[in-house]
Amino acid sequence: MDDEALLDRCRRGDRDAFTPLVHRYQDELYTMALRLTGNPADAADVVQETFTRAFRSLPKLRGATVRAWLFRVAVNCSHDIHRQRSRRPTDPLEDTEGRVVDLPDPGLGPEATAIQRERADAIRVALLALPHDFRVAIVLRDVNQLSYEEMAEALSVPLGTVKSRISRARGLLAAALRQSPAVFPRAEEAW
Amino acid sequence: MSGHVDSLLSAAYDGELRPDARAAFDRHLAECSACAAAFAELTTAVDALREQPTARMPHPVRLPEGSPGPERRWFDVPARLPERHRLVAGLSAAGVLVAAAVAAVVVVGHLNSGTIVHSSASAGVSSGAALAPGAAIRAPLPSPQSASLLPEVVGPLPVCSPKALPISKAEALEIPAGFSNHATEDNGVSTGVVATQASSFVPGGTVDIYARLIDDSSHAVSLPCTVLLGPQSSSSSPGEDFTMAVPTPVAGLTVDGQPLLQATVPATAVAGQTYDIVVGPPDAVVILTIRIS
Repeated sequence: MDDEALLDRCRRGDRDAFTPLVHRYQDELYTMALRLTGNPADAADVVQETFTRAFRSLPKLRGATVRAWLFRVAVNCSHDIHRQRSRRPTDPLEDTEGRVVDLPDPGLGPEATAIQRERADAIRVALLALPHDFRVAIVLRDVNQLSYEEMAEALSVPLGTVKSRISRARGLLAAALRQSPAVFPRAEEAW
Repeated sequence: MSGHVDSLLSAAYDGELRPDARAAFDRHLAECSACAAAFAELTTAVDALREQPTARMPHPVRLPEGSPGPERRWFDVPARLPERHRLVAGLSAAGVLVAAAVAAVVVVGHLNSGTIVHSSASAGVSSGAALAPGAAIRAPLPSPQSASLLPEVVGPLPVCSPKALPISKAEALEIPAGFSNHATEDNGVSTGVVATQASSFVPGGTVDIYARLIDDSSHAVSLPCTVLLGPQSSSSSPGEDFTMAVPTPVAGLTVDGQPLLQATVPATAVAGQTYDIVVGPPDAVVILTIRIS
């Protein structure tokens, strides 16, 4: 059943129609929030808050796609949480209950696993260093792979703004990762 | 292609260049090692980001109780009906039901005290105006959904500017994509529509505003009106205009031919900031029902 059909059922008060939307989008939204906040606990809170708000507001949604709207809410929630909380030093690989997330591929050897972890960490640090709007743009585009049009809808900005933010963010990301051997192996060789 | 192509790298990565532009881009990269290196660097970095695995939500999402849709709450507001409202309550037959509703509001309102809601005159502009304290009351919505407890803020326009509804949570509201801005060029007031300021709502959820407008002369409901929501000061806002769509009559929400207007006001609220709700037309009596979820 597609989003619109589920939304119609939600509008009629069908609670069971909301659950498939949660299952459909929770990991996408969690990944987005994790890349935006860099913190698993915050990311989980973002997803929880997004669906709580959606539960109350989604049935009244008009003129927008469910996916873009959920991303919009999640982006705002991420921003709110980032604003409300002082950053606390946590292990990025553990959530508040100590469970490991973003596990490396078990098929990789120790060296490849180490590189994968190093690359993930370099990317996390580089993303967090980006200005908020640019970070949102590159995450929606290159992590969640939203189309330009979906991004414009989710962010309520013109298409041109979407493209320029993506372009700028990618340039900054590339510059930030330039010296990371895990991302640019040749940089390591040059040392 | 002359000059470097930095501005095209991202579009080229996405395959968004037109064929002729792409061909020129590729020709340039073949001749310009700096641009070729820059494109390779961007490609490597973005590929690395895209290759990061999808993370899994670590625990199940907990949904609120009940059915999807707004949660209804009371505002705690004082109830002292202004003189004008008493006049309104005594209006002609068309207003009888309204009078009953207002009376109900008064009764309920007197039973409760709490946060202040004001009314004020502010015709045509959305800036602040003198307040007439105590114009706010609350009551069940006199409608098929009257079992639900909804707050009402009553004030005669252009003397209606509910303010300072209790805000206990400093969270944010959302504007769903698809809401468009209306007439924001003139401070959020479109021509011919009264801009009576009603400020603030509770952040933390969606706000529904039901506006029942009663024309003083005909006692008819004026349709449609524009209801706007936006930060009082753009300088203190995050640069967004919060605007509601033109409200439309809501099927089922009628009181003997007195349609209620509904508009949803989801917005990204900033903690501690005041927001405006604009309702028209001028010289009308409006009963606002504000529901927060």
